[in-house]
Amino acid sequence: MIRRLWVTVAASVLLLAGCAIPHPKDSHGVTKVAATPAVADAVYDRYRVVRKKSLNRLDPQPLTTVEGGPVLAIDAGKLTVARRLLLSDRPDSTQDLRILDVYAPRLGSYPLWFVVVVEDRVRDLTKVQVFQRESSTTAWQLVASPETLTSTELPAFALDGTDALKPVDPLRADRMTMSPQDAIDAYAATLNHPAAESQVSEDSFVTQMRKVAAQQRRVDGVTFTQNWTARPVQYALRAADGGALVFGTLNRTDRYRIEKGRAIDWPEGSEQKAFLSGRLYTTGELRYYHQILVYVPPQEGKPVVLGQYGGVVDGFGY
Amino acid sequence: MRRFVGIMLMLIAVIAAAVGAGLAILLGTDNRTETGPHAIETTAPIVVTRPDVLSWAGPTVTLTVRVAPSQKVFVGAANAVDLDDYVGSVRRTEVTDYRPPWKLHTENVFGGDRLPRAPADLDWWVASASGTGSATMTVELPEQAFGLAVIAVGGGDLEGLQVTAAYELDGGFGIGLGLVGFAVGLGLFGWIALQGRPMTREMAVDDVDDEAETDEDEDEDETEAEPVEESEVVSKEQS
Repeated sequence: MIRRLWVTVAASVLLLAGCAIPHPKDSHGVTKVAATPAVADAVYDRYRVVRKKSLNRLDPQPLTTVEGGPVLAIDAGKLTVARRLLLSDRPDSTQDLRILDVYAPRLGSYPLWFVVVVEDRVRDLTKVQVFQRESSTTAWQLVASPETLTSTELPAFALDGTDALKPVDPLRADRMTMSPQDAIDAYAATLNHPAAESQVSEDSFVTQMRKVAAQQRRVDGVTFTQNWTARPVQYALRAADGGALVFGTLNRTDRYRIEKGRAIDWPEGSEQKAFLSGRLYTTGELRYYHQILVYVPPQEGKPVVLGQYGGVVDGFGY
Repeated sequence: MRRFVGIMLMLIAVIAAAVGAGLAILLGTDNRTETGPHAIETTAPIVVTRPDVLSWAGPTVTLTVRVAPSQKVFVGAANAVDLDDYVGSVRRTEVTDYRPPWKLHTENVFGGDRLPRAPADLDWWVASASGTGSATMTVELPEQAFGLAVIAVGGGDLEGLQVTAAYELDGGFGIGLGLVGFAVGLGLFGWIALQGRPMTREMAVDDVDDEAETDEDEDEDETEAEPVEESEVVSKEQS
């Protein structure tokens, strides 16, 4: 009986002490969960509005407030192509983008970033997008937007005790087959040297890019070369199985050298037609960005591309 | 054993009564206590608290700042990551230590004179207020690493800054009185235990059990003895 009374007294004291009385803060130090779902919703609502405005005008200028980095370059490139060629089929002009999930890491300093998984009902795709806030005084911008097929199953993300994403250091392999940066570098190497042994999977992205290059090489009287380089990885997150999901960007440069006395007329509606302005007599160069979402497995297996988003961003020719 | 329990209960009762009474007296019926106005010596355009200064969550704080009558002033509360990024490169006075009700240590940090953007244009303030000559902001101290900032808006500085802080604890007065009541009850239990009187019939059995040496014996006796020995024990105590 005495013990029971003792436990009751102790429990009552603890209950009273914990009830609404000031208490020390959580032990997460100087950190911030980059964005709550409510913040992500607000950011995405603004993004939808500005994007629609940009598409309706075929003007990339409004996009500069809500997009940055390679995504802005790719979308500006698409709008430029549409405007120069006055395409009736404007790029992605209708939109039904719905947020499926929001994931945010707990970060100790700016830039802050978070991931949204978005269903694109018009194009029947899933976008895995990264929004970043460069500093406390700038706006949130979309900086990565690889697209996956709706049938592609994303690995589960690893979350900490506060449901925050666990970021992965891009330069450390840390219980994986290779580091996130090495995985993106390996893709660039595989695309540059098709004959060499590849450290990455022969996935649909690699196959598709090789097919495009092969088509270009078939043009008579033109020497075609293609070069791939990897940009530094900024966003990588831990998967629940110990692997990582990596947002990488590849630069692709297509060069055309035309034999003397010949000329190229690009097909109507092509990117080349828009950027290389009409007939090409001597040389031409087109630059592309390809954003890829790569899964790096733990322990065994090769990295594989789960989604990509790319397009021409720049070009010249004469 | 009974004596020990009695002393411990009385001790807890005294502490609970002191805390409860103190809380009720400090907060009063409006659940609020105020300190200030206190002057903060600064010639900088910004005064901020360092992230580890406000290490408690829960209470609601109302901060009233007063500056020169013509000076526009902004007062805000934000996550320390946001605040550090915002004011990190600007000349400021940092509050490096704080003890309630009002004991401050400050440090001047060199930097530029202009913030990259006006504070009112930013969306990450947890709470904020602005005014000319004075501003009042109320915020519940959150769980996250957190800081307070007073900013001179539109040029100028915070010379002559005076701060009044009010701490509010929802239901604090009631909690204080509740603690006192709890202490009285507890003290009564302790007193009864000290007197050696049985508090219930079951307790009386327990008291006899205490005379037996081991806890195991006590448990066994409790279940076995209750129906048959109860009346005998009571009569022993009464005689």
